Amino acid sequence: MKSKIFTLLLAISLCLSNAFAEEKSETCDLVKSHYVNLSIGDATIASIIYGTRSIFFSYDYEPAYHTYDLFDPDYKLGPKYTTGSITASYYYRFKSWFWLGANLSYTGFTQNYYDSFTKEQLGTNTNHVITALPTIRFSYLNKEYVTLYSEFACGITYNYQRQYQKTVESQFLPAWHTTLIGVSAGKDLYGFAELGSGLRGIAIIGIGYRLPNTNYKKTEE
Amino acid sequence: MRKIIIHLFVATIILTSFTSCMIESGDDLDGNVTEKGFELCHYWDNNLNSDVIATVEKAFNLNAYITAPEAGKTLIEDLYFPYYKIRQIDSIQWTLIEQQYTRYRFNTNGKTLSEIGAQWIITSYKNSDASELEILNSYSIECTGASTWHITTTNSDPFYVNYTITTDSMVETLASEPYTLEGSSFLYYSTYYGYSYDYSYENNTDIFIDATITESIHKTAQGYSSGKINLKATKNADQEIETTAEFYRQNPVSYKVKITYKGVTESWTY
Repeated sequence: MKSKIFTLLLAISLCLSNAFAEEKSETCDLVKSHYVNLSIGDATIASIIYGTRSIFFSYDYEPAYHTYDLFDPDYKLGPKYTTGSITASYYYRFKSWFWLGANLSYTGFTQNYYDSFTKEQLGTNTNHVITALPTIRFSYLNKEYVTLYSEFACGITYNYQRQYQKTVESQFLPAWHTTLIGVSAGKDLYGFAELGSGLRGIAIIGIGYRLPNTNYKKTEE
Repeated sequence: MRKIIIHLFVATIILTSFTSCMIESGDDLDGNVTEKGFELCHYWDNNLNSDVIATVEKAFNLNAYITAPEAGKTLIEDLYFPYYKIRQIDSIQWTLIEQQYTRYRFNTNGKTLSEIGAQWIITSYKNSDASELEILNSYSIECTGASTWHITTTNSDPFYVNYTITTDSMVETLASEPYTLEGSSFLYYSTYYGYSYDYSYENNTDIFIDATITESIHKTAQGYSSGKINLKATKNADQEIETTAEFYRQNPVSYKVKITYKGVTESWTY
């Protein structure tokens, strides 16, 4: 057990030493670059927190013993759809291992109501979740074409709900996202995949583009 | 590397193109349109059993205790009153005490429940530390014939119970013995508590259930095997729904109910 912990610590320290080392020549031109990303993730976390109805909304408390209001119109719920979590991101790479950025995410939910007897559509529940997340990223493998990274983001989310036959509700809440591990492959145009937890999803894939680094001048041939 | 990027790019395009994912399949749009009627039937059933029958049951249990020979009283007590202390106040009054609380008071008028003309008054009380007992409900049980009892409320206006229970013989409990139920009731039902616990007009989770049995309901230990009842639920005076429930037994172990709601009849497993 001790040897395993030692090995783990050694591996972490090696990664860190690599991360905090001076930029190597192969990644020099990547530093002080601007990155723009587009990604999509699952809506698991947003669905748990908001679904079509936020657990944080307390109006019209519905007791646990009945499934619905007997006096509501006779309706049935159609399938519930989500857009997934679509995110546009921007990062600036201060060091080869240190990035700062921001994410803007959108997750939508929709579910139709139908008249039980006529099957006519009565209305729709919609829920829009927009999240802004300032993000800090640490990359611990910085190769020219491959980057491994983790990141943490903390920001704010805006939730707008329109319930069938209910009032419209909206609210701001704190939001977070943690990327446990992310990998990007490519240089100027790259793809990436992430595993984490938060309003951007648990599993995320996307593409990105590095804007040309106008500050960088090659000094060596 | 270029291949990986292209693959990731294509995957992203595909995902964002078909970005609408189904996360819940939704209800069956073609069936179960009488679900509200079925739900209302459950409300009445809960109301009847957790409120009326549960209280009346205590009277049958106590009657068994009172009429049992001295040697058999302990057995009855262990069987039906494991959580209560039985106290005889005087020659006609008994109480059941749960922990330190008086939960039921019985006025037997000096007769056993099996005597025709016997009338017991049972009052149940809330679990409360208040100095004065707070009445939960109160019923009169009158033996009107051989193994027939008429059950009415004594203090719940405008709510009422007017049921007649008939058993095959004098029973100790209604829980496991078959009986026939006739009559009507008008009770409130708390959708918060799951039964009529503590009515308050401010509580908008309460509904009122008007029930009229149109064909005698036969109850076995397993469920309702026959009978028909009209149910009407109202809320805030201006909202109401109605349904008819017809109980039947498809086979010895399958109890069903035919619910007619808004002109549509469907069978449900009860």
